[in-house]
Amino acid sequence: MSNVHVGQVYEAVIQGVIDAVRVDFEENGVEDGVLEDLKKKWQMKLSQLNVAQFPWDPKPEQPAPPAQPAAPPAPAPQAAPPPQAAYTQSTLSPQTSAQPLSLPNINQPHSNGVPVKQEPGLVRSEPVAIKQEPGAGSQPVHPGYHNASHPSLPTVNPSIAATRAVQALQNKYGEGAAASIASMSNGNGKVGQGNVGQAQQQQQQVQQQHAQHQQHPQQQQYQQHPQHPQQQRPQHPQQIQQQHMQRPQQGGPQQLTPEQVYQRQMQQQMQQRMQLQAQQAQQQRGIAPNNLPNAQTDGPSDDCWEAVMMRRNAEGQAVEMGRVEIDDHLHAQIAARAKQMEGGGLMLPLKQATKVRSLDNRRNRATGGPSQVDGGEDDMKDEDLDDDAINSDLDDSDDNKEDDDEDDDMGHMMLCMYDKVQRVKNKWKCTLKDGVLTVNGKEYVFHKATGEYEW
Amino acid sequence: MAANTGFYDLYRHGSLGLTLTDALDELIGDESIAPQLAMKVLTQFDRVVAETLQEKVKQRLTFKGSLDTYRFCDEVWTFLIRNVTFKMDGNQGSVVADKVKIVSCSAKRNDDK
Repeated sequence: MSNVHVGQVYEAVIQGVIDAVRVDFEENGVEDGVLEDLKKKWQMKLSQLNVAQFPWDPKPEQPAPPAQPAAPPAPAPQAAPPPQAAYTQSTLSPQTSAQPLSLPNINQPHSNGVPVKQEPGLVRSEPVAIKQEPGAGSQPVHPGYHNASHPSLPTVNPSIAATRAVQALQNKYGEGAAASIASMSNGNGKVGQGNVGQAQQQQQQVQQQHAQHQQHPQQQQYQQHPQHPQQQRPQHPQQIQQQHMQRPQQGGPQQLTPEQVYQRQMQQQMQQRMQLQAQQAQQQRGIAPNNLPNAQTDGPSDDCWEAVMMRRNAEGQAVEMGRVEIDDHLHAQIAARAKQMEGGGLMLPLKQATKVRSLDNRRNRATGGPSQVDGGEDDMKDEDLDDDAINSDLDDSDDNKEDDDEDDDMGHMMLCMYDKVQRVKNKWKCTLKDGVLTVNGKEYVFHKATGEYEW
Repeated sequence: MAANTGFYDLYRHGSLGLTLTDALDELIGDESIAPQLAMKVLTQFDRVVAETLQEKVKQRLTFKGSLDTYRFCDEVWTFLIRNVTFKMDGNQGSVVADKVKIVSCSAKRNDDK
C-alpha cells in the first residue's frame, strides 16, 4: 500500500491554507514574512512526523549515491597519520628499544629524504634542532640537512651497534645511564659541570651553531648528519675518538673542534633526558606520549610540594592540610557556592532538584565535608516519598485500561465522513469518504472507503 | 463542530491539523500573530482540507476487522476496530493494524449546509 499521493495532497492543503489566510494576515497588519514562517514551521513539523514523503523534503534516494563514492576517500587521510604516530610512540617509549632500532635498518635502503626521520637518533634530535632554530631564523638548513644526510647514510650504519648499546643502557638504568653518558663525555670533553652548566653551554652552543649555519650553510649541512646518531652511542672514549677519526674523511673539511662536538652530544643527551622524564611523567599520568609536547615546562617534578595549604586548628597552630583534605575542602566550598547561586535548586525542575540535592547529601555524608549546613537528609527522604505519593495519587487509577482504549490509539486513527453505516445483527458495513488514515506511522488519504466488520 | 462555516474541524486532529496548530501556537507565543488570527487560519484549514480531499483524492480503500466499540453521538460515529486489514485499490499489499479508531462525521450534513 503506497502513500505517494499524501505528499501532494498535503502540499496542496498547505498552499491552499496559506493563500486563503493571506488576506486575513494583511488585514491584521501581520507581515508577509510571518506567513512564510508559518508555512515553513508547518512543513517542518510535518516532516518531523515522518508520516509520508513530502515534496518539500529532500528526496532520500538522491543524497545516497553521492555519499557512497565520497566514502572511500575519507579513510585515506585518516590512514596516513597512524604509521607515523605509531612510530613516534615506539621511538619515544623507552620500553620498546629493539623495535625502533631494527626499523631503520630495514627502511634505509628505500629512504629518499623523508624516511630519514625514521632513524631513531635523528628523530630524537629533530625537536632539538627545531627548538633552537626559531630565534636565529636559519630554517633553510633543515630541508638541506635532510637531503644531505641521505647520501651518506651508509656511514651512519657502523654506529648502530653503539646506538643499541646506549639504548640498552638507558632502558636498564634510565636516567642513570644518561648521567653516566654525560659524565663520560664530560671526562672526555672539557668541562665537568652540573646540569645547569650544561644548559648554559647549550645556549652558547646554539648561538655558535647559528653563526656557523649562516656562514657555511653548505658545510654545515654536510657535517651535521654524522653527529646526530652520536647522541645515542657515546659510551667509550675510544669509540668516540674512532668516530671522530672517521668523520673528517667522510664529511669533507672539518670545522668543529672535538669540544664542540662533545658539547653537542651533551645537549642532545640533555634533551633526551628531558624527554625521558617527560615521558615517564606522562606515563604516570596515563597520557599518551604523543599527545603532549615532549619538553617538561612545568618545573622539574611535582614531588617538591608536599603541602600547599595551611590552616589553623583549635589552638591557633598552623597545620598542614593534606592533598585529599584540600580537595574535599575545595569541593565543599564550590558546592556550597553553586547552591547559593541557584537558590538551592529552586530554578530546577522539581525532580532534577531533588536528585541533585540528594546527591549532594550523599556526598556530604561520605566525605564528612563542612558544607552540610542545610539540614539532614531526613527531609529529603520525606520529599521523595511525598513525590511518589502525589504522583501515585494522580496517575494510578483503576480505569487505565479504558483510557488506553480511548486515547492511546492516536497513532492509528482514521478521520473521515460517513455516507452510510448499516448493521445487520453483529455485522457492520459502512461507506466512508474523504478520509485521512494514520497507521503504523504512515498516512494515507482516500476518497472512498468501505469497511466490513463484526462486533 | 464548526457548523457556521459548514465544515468540520475533524481534520484538525490529524497530523496536518496538529502540526498547523503547533506552528500557530509558536507564532502566538512569539506574539507574531494574535490568537484570533490563528482561529481564522484554522477555519480556513477546515475548509481547504475538506475541499482538497474531495477534489484531489481518488483512491479507494477497503478494510476489514472486528468491531470492538461503536458509538454514535451528535451525528458522529466513533468505531474502535481491532485486527484491521486495509487495502488500497490498484496497490497490491495491505496494511495491518491491531486497532484503529475511526472518527466519522456525517457527509450529508456537510452537503446540506
